Amino acid sequence: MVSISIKNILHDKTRFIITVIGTSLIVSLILFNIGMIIGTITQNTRYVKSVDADLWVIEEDEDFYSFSKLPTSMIDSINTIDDVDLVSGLMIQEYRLKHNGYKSEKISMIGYNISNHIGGPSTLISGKHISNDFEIIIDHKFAQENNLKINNNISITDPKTDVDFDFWIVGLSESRSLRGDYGFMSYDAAQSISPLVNITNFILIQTNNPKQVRDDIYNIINGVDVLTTGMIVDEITSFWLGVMGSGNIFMCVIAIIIGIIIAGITLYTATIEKRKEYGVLKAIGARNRYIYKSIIFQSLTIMICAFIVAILVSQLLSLIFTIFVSKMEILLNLIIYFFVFMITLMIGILSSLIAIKRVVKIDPLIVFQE
Amino acid sequence: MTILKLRNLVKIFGTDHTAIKAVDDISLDLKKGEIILISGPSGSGKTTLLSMIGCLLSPTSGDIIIDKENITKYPQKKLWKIRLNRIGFIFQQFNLLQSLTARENVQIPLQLTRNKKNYIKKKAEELLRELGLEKRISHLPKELSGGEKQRVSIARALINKPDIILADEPTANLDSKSGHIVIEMTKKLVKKHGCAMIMVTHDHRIEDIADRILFMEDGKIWTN
Repeated sequence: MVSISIKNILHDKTRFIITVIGTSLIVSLILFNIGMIIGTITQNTRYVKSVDADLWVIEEDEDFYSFSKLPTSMIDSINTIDDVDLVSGLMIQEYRLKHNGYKSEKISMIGYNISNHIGGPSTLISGKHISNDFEIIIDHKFAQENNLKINNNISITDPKTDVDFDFWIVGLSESRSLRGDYGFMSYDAAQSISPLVNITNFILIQTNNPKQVRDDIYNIINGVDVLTTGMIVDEITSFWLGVMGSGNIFMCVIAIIIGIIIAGITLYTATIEKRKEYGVLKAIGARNRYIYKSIIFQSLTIMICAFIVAILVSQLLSLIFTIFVSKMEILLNLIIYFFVFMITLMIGILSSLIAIKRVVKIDPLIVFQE
Repeated sequence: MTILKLRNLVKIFGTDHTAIKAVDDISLDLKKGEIILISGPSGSGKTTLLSMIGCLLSPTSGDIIIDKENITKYPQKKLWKIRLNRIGFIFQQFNLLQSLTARENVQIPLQLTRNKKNYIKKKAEELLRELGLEKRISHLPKELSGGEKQRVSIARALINKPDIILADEPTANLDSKSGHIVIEMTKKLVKKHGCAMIMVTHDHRIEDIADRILFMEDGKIWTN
């Protein structure tokens, strides 16, 4: 059966190649869209996942991307709760960095406690970690785009006093997200240049008993939400799925339908052309099951070839895309390839159904027709 | 030994006033090794009769008994097995699969019975050699002459060692020389393999190969 199926589809090489190219573009589109969704979620949750905190305290009804404002005195209140091992404030404020009279694009500077490193950068591309209030770390792509380098002296203007604070770039991190680039500075430095006085954006907690601590915070403090890192990750994931998920999923569904149509038309046409041959097979004793398998095998052969081409095309597409849209990350890993491979096989099986339906109707008596 | 018995076989197409009796009360015995030639004008019911014997068409009434097995009432699901194991077809149009080589075409019936690859290949090549096609084994049908295509078709019909070979105008698309070669080879192989053959033809030049010649007209069979 295998040899008959292979020979059948390769008999018309031009049609085979055109179908493989067509379906491979469809599969590439699916791969690219899924890669874009997963890449965006991965990129935008990377920082939160890297923060070594069990609980995040944020202003009630706010989320990671909104402007949570909590009094800094709350840090001391939380510190009094039993089972709390460590409490740290975390600031995230947007600034422009000034260097040699040039103002950079906006960057979200994360102020974290440099003594315990909670909330600090997880991956340094080069340089060192911050050791005092005058050192900062910025995203390496942001640095490249704004012509900033390690050891450059930059300044940030305090919006309250209009006074410039000087900092040294000591490290370059991997901290780009679709919402913007992240830089890092000490929590104290972030507090001193913040337009908000005695306000922190988040409070991070390390504890061995997160459930109890969470309940205790809700008992003694009003107007806050206490979330686990997983809950924040879920929130961010939902946000990005809401922003781009439906569009990308819609594109994938359209691509799947077009894929089924392309492969389906090819198989259907090939079946019509070879209906007498299928009739001969039936006449000499081939069961319908054998013929179905042969058609499905032909369809799967097309789809597997298309998938192999699609791997190359999607890699090339994501490379080109990330060059032109550098803030986006396309993630194509083995799990995604496996998932899309399964979708590809499903397209193959569904596209063969029309041809199979046609084959059922072929009367073996066709063999006696001229 | 009788390999095929037809008893009062009738095939009516259509119903009531549109009904046409294509085969009208035919009874026939075919013995092992026997070659029966059926001739007759177009529309006389020859192909309909062949289709019923080949389990491709159900009779309206009557019985078809192949080697003591009455297959008349068999469901389609069971008939494929009879076609595969007990019947070999030779067609006027050769009906070879265009994308397969001569050997691959011959192999098909054996592949359907799930034999071992090497055995299938050996068997197909053996038959093609017997039919003088040893140099055409790897050729596609489009690279073969009409006579060669028909010989490939004969090899395909014989490879499963069927009890009955059904040939529908096997020489109609061949010149007289090729037709003669094909018929001589067919006769030789049918006798050698011990099967029986029913051949439908208009070609009077091949009448001498038959053990019996029957004439068919208006769905009825007459002995010459």
